[in-house]
Amino acid sequence: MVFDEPTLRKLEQLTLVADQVRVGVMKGDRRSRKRGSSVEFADYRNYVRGDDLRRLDWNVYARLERPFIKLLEEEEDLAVHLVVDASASMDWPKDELADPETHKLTYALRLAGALGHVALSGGDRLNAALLIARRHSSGDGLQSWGPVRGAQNSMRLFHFLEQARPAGLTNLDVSLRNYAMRGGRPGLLFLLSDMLSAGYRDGLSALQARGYEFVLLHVLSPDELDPPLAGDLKLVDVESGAEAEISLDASTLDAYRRRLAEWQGEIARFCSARGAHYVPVVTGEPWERLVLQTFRRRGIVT
Amino acid sequence: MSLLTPLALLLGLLAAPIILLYMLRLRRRETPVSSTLLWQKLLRDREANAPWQRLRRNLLLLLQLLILAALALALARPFLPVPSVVSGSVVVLLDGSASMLATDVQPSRFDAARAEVEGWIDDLGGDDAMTLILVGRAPTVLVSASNDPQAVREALAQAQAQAVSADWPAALALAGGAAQGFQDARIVVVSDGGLPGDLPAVPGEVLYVPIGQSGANLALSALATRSGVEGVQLLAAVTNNGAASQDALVSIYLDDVLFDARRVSAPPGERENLIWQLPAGDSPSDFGAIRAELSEQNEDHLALDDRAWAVHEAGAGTRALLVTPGNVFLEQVLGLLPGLMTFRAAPDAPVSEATPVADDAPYDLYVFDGAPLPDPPPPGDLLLINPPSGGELFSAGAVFSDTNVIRLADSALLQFVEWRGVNVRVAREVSAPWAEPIVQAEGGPLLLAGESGGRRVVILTFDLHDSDLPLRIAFPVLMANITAWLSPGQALEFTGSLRPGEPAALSPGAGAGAILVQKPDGELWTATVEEEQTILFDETGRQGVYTVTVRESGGDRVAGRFAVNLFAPEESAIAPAATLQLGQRTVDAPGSEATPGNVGRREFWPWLATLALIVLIVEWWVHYRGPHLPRVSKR
Repeated sequence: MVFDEPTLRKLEQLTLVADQVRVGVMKGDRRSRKRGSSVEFADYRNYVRGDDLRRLDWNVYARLERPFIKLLEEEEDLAVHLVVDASASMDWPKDELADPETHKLTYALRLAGALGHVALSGGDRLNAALLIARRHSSGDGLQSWGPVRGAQNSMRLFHFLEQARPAGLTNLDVSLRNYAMRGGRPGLLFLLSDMLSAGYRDGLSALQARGYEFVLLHVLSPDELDPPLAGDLKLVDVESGAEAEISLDASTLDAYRRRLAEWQGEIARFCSARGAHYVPVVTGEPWERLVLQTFRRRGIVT
Repeated sequence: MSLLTPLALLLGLLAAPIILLYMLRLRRRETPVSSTLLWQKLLRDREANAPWQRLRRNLLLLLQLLILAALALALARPFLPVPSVVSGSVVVLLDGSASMLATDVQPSRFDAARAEVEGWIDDLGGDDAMTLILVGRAPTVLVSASNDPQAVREALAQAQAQAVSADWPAALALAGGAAQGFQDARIVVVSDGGLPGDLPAVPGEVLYVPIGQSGANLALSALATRSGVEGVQLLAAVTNNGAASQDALVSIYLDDVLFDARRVSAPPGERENLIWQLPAGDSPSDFGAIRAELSEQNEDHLALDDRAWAVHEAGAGTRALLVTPGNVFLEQVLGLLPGLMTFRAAPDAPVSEATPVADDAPYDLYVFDGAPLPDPPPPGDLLLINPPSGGELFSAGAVFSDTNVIRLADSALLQFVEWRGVNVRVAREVSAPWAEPIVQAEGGPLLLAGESGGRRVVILTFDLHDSDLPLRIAFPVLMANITAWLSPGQALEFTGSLRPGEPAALSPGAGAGAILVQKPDGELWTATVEEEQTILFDETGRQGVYTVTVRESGGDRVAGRFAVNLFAPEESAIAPAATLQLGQRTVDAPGSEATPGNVGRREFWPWLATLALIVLIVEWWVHYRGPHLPRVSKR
């Protein structure tokens, strides 16, 4: 995975924005809603028993003879999670004639790399994971990397992402629930997936319940939006091997497009109901523009 | 609806392989997609309108089956029974006579009749056959028992009515012959009804399709000249064939110069006669052609009979001078021969004194019976009987009595002459080197003929009273042959006027190399005359004056003129008849249900074939064009 220098420089100027502040273990350079030990004043509150006397505002006590605890804004680091769906359906389009730039997994990995670089150069704590096929019924369907901090780890991240291979059948529900259960520090989670899975609601709900704030980057290739198909076909799912016999004509394709838009809207509504970002990503669009313009506009990065 | 070839419906069995192929074809192409998730949902959505979906899926199959059905049905040749004149074998008698040129039906009756027949051609079923006979002066079979509409149509397009009278008996005989051999033959007469009343009965069913509406027609029904005491009289007759009184102007032209015009009023069905006294010219040839024209009629639907021509006959033919001391036989026979005007003179009288007309109009033929030939001989053909002495033409010798005939020459003079029984007592020896002995007896020739000095000479070397020839049948025949040979006279063997299409017999006479006829439109008709023969000139289709010219060695000589006129009352009476009378049978015009059971078959397979073609185009469009573009992703 190669990012050229100017792109990296541009990425380094960005910061990931989390709407809700996460508990930080290490001091980061990120404003936190948690009041802490930084020098930035935040608020006062009444002293209650057990409070650290070091944080009592003695000046106020001298003036008012009542103890107030001075609340300072705590600066903290952010746990950033990159979860990339590496199921077989992401290995699309397979057609040699198709533009390799529109390959969904490649595109998703590149996007993950860019976001990871932003996170690392912003001093955030980064976890990366690939959703892969479960090898056996008890497998968690995850391939994890991290956590790491520091911009110097970007190359390692890139190497991890590069070795990702699309494989098999994934179940978003199972994999995401497993990810949530692992007990890592919850934070801002970017899920890059085509969402072409039997279910996603349980998994995302489990993540949210664990305190994750997630951004769903819904990666679809152009030929999924507008299938170049016609005639009487037996469609074979490259991931599950399921077959669908269909006679394609203009009205069927219209119905497909309507169905697709409906489906995207459904996911988008699910996300917005949970305060999450939903970003439809079409692999035909240059990823730099997506990161530098769309994400910025959507408030995902600043 | 019925089928002509129902077996062709078996082709519908081809539907089985089509359906089979379609089922084989429905083994769908496997195409990988990233996920069938959305497609499955789509399919679930589509279950709701599954029948329609299935129909759409099979649209191509249905179209193909429709094409097959249309083609199989077209090959089965379905037809609808339509009321029609034509079914089975039909013999159409199309009236092509002059009255069909009437214009009371636009553009003309004949065109209307043709359109009528044209309409039947479309009803011509598969087993039907149409024979088309154009009834003109002689009936013409345009197309015989044809089932090919194109052939019939082409033949019909070439048919033309002419200014002639129709020969209905011949046409009906022809139609009867054409109808024979067919079971359900039917004769259809398309005419305006100007048919003679004494037509024979014809076998089979006869239909009559009348053409025409009005009978209003004013006709010049006669135009003739007559030489009377006061001079030449011209008689013209105007007949009103219509149902209303008519006024018209009759103009007489002499050699294309207006001579007189008179207004005539003719009550319906009446004939008005008009008489003119023509100016007596110095010579009858002063006005050769007389033309009469009708104009300013109220209503006249036939223009053909509004003009007439006449030729004034100049003189009565060949003038002959008989120089004889007295011969009853000869005078009788010469007086009886047609076309011969005989004058008698005594042998001692000078020839010139016997000339009845001016000196510059000499006799055509001189007959010297026992009289000496003047010297020089008169300018004209000569018949010498028992010449007493010779002259520069021949030498006469002694009398001989051994008159047994030893040889008869093969000559026109002896045509139909039975000479065997003729006995001659004595004859005179005559020798002429230019003459051929026609009848050779032991002692010498009895009859000689030949040409000398531009004239024809016939010599009978015996006195008629010295033989029994005048008592025999052979005598008038021989005299007729001799006079005909001697003076060819006029080229025309008829008088009066001809009807259009009637042939004119032309006898150019001896010495003519060719005969020329100038038609009214200026066209020249030429025939070469091989030997003395009668030539038939039959291109008399056009009305007007024809000029006959005989081309001889000395130059061209106008031999006569004749006029061709449509003086046909049955053609001028153009009122359409309601019935035909054939033998004992009266044939009505088809009224409300006068002709039941006339059911034709109108085939409509071309429409089915067209439907198949249209469906084929639709199928192609559905398959290839459709509303979407045929971009199928490659594997």
